[in-house]
Amino acid sequence: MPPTLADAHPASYDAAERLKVMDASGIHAEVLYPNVGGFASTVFLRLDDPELVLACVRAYNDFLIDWIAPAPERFVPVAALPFWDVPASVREIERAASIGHRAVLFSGAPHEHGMPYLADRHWDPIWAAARAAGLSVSLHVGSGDLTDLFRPERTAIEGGAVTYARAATSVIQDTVSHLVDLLLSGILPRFPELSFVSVESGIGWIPFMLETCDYHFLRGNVRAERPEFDLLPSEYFRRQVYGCYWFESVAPRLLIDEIGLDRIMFETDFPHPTCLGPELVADVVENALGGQTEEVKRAILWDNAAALYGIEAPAD
Amino acid sequence: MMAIPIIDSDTHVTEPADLWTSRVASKWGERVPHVKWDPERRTEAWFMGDENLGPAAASASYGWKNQCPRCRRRWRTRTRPPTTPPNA
Repeated sequence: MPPTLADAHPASYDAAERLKVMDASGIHAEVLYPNVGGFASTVFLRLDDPELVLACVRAYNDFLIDWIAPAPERFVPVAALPFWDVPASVREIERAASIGHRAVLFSGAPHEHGMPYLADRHWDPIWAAARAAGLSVSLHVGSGDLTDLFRPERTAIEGGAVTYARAATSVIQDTVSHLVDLLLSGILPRFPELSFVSVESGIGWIPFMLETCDYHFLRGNVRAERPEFDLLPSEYFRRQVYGCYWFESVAPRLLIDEIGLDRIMFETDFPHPTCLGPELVADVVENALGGQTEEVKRAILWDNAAALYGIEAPAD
Repeated sequence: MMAIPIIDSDTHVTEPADLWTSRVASKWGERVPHVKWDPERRTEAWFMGDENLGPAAASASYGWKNQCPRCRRRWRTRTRPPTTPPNA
């Protein structure tokens, strides 16, 4: 990795440079996530001072709005939330929406951070506030507890390269658990107009997860115990949940109908280690979607995200 | 046919070193997230108080060394003079 921030690629931290990389990639707009605070902002909790923790979360959200100033129509800022404090989160959702944020970050496994389970009604005011503000909820891969993936004892055996390859693959199974928790949480029937996005988690596993979840939902006769589930888990997915893929070709070639065409969005994860840089985007897109119709390509590359985040088409 | 424009649904902004120190009240001093040199790992790192959160540019590895030598060469010559990393 670059030893200093000044050694990093300028597009990683500079919006004007980022726009050049986007133009070279054929990317018109980007959805923006953080690093330092973690994908559910829980790093700040270690400060153990509610006032300071909240100040750090708000400072990040303010920073991101300033960062997009060179081309606000080409960036979708996603707000961090002090999710461990529900009233503060509700206030921050309203504030973030008012300054231009278009989605909020949440943990797919709040219980791994010592908080109530995702399904707990404890969180309902956050879902209600996001819905009222017109924001979707992003569950970014790695938003649970990653301690076991990166234990020094493992890396001592594996070396850094194997740790990277293993962790980047195994973390997807955390996301599977997060989405199963979501589909069976009761949140989706209670907030039928709220959308969730599973970010950087791939899509190829989704048909198997949905089939398994539907099978056991029916075998377990869930509706007898929980009549509020008016739909199958797969039907909630196709109404309210999105998945994002980057390197895959199997699912974009073969599984689109099994996932749902309007549920799939494309991503690069720039500038992280796994990312698709501008030298790769066109080839990866062609390899995955080259055999698909224009309608399919447009849904995945543009329409789905444009509709979710309210992104205007570029001027001709 | 025109290429379809793309929306990239997941990217990350590498936080600048002064993100929090320039925006959070100074009364909290060193507890506010800040960047300083980690002599042990020989990288810049994020700190909150004495707690080392890890290398500051770990999230910005695109184009760095073994990843994509071709594009790294391109951006480094175009955008800044070559530097020798301390651990080279």
